[in-house]
Amino acid sequence: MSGDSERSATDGPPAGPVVEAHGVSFTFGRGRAGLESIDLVVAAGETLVLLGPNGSGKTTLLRLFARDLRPRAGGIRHRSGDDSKRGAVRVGYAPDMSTHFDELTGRENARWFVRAAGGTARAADALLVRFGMADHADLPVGEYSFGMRRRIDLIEALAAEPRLVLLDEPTVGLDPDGTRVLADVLAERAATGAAIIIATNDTRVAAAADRVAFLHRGRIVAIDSPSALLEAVRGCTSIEIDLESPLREPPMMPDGASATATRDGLIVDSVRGTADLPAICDTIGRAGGRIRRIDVREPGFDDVFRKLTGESLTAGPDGSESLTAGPDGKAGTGQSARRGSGPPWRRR
Amino acid sequence: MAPALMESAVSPVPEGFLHAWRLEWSRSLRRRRLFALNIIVPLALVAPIIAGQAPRQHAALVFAVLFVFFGTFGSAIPLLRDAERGMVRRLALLPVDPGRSLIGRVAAGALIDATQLAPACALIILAGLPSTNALWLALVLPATLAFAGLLGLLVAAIARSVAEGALFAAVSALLLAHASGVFRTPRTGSAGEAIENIAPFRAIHEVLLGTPFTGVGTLLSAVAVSTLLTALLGPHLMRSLARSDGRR
Repeated sequence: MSGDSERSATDGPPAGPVVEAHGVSFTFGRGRAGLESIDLVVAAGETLVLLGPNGSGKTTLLRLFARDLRPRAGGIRHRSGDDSKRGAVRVGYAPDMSTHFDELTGRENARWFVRAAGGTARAADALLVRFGMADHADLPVGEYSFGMRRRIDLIEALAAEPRLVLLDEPTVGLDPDGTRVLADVLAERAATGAAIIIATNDTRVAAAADRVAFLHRGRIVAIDSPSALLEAVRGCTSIEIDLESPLREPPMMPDGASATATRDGLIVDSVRGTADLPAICDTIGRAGGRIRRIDVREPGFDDVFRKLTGESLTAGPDGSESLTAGPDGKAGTGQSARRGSGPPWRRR
Repeated sequence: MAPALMESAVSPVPEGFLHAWRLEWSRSLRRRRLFALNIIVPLALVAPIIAGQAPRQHAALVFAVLFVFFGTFGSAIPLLRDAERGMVRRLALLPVDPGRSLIGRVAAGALIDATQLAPACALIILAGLPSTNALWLALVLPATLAFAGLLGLLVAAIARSVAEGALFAAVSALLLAHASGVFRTPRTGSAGEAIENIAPFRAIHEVLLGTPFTGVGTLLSAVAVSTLLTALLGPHLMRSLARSDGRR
C-alpha cells in the first residue's frame, strides 16, 4: 500500500499504450466486411471517441477491444503498463445493449459485476450515489427505466477502476445530470491513467475528447484532435434551410456554395457564410422553393465527416438517402455532388 | 491489494465458483413464486402416485424421471434464457474463469433443486422407502441433480434456442435414463446390463426402488469426470452459450 502511494506521488499514473490494434480486420458471417486494416494505439490517460454513422464499425471495434470478438486478421494487444504484473488489463465495458439480472436490485447487480471485475462493493456503492441512484438502488432492475439501467451499466463498467474503459453510446438515455456525472467520472479515470474509448454519435462527447477517429465503412478515415479535425472545415458555414415542400433536385448555388437535399429541405455549405444568404434565398425562390426556416451553424464534426466521405454522420448503414448539387446544379458529379443522408445533425 | 484478491488468497474455493454460487442463490431466492412452484409441482406429482399405491417399479420410474428432468431442464432452460438475453455474453467478458463459473452455477443449482425436491422426497420416504435407501437418497439425489445439471449445461451449449434446449434436454435425459435401466430390466449378461453398469442415473433409480444398490460409485465418477471436463472446456462452453443471443 505504501509502495503504491510512493509510486503515485513520484511517478504519476502509468503511461504508455494501453491497447494497440495492428492491421485488424473483421468479417461478419457471409463475408460481410465489418472492419478493414485498423491500426490504432490508445495511451494511458487518453480519451478517444469513435465517430461514424450506423454500421460504420464503431461497436465492432469496441467488441474487438473487449475481446468479445476475435479479429480475422491482425492483432489486438492489451498492455498492463507494469511489467511485474502478468495479469490481463482490467477492462470496463458498457455494451450498447443493457443487460442485467432483472430480479436483483440495482445495488446487487452493480456489486456483483464490480466484484467479479476485481473491484469492491464500496466502490460500486460510491458510484451509485454519484450517479444519483442511491434512492433507487434497492429496487429490482426489472422496474427501472432505460436511463436508470444505463446508469447501472456505467457503474458496472467504471467502478472496478479499469485500465481500459470501453463505452458504447454511453450518453443514450442519460439526462443532463447523468451526462455531467459521467464526464466527471471519466475525467477522473483518465487522470489515474485509464485509456477511454467511446463509440458514440454524440458530437458533444467528441468535442471533449483528446482524439476523434472517424469510421466509415469499416475503416478509419481520419484520426486527430477535435481542433485539428475541425480546422479542415473552418470558415465553411453550414446553412440548413427547411422548405415547405422538398425540391426535386438541389438548385444551382452561387460560387463557393454547394447544396445537399435533405428530407426537410437543403443544407448549403458556404465559404462566405451568411454573406451568401440573400443570393441563396433568391436561388431557392427561383427554383420554386418556399422557405420555412433557416438555421445557420458553425461547422462541426458532421461537416468534417461529409468533407471526408461525402456522407453524413447520421447516414444509415447504406450511407445514402439524398443527392447533392454544386454550383453547376448537377447531382452526382465531383466533390460537391455526393450521396447524403437522412435527417441532418442539428444543434440549435 | 484489492479486497477481492485478498479473499481469493485465503479462500480454498476458487473465486469464480463463489461468484456464480452466490449469484445463483440470490436469483433463486428472489424469484419466490418460481421457488414455491418448484416445491409444489413435484409434490403434486408424487402425492397422487403414492396415494394411489402404484407398484414400486412404476413409482420409482416416474420419480427417477422427475428428478432427472428437474436437474436437466432446471440447468439448461435458465442458461439459455440468460444467453438469449445477452447475459452469458456479458459474463464471458468478466475476468472470471468460465469453467469455474459454470461449475459454481451448476453446483448451486443442484443444491437449490435438492432443497426444492426435499418435501417430495420426504413423502417418498414416508411412503415406505427402506431406511438405508432413505439415507443414501440424501447423497444420491444432489449428485444425480449435479450430473443432470452438467448434462443440461452441455445441452444448452449445443442448442440455439430455449425450444431446442427443451427438446435436447428431454431426449438426452430420457436416453440416459433408459441406458441406466429406468425403463427396463435387462437380462443378465446382455449388452444392456453392461451399459447399465456405467450409466449415471442407475443409482437414483435403484435407491428409489428400495432394493440393494450398486450404482453410487458410477454416479460419483460420472459427476467427477463431467466436472473436470466442464472445467477444461469452460471457455468453449461459455462461447458457445454466448452465441445464443443471436449476435456474432
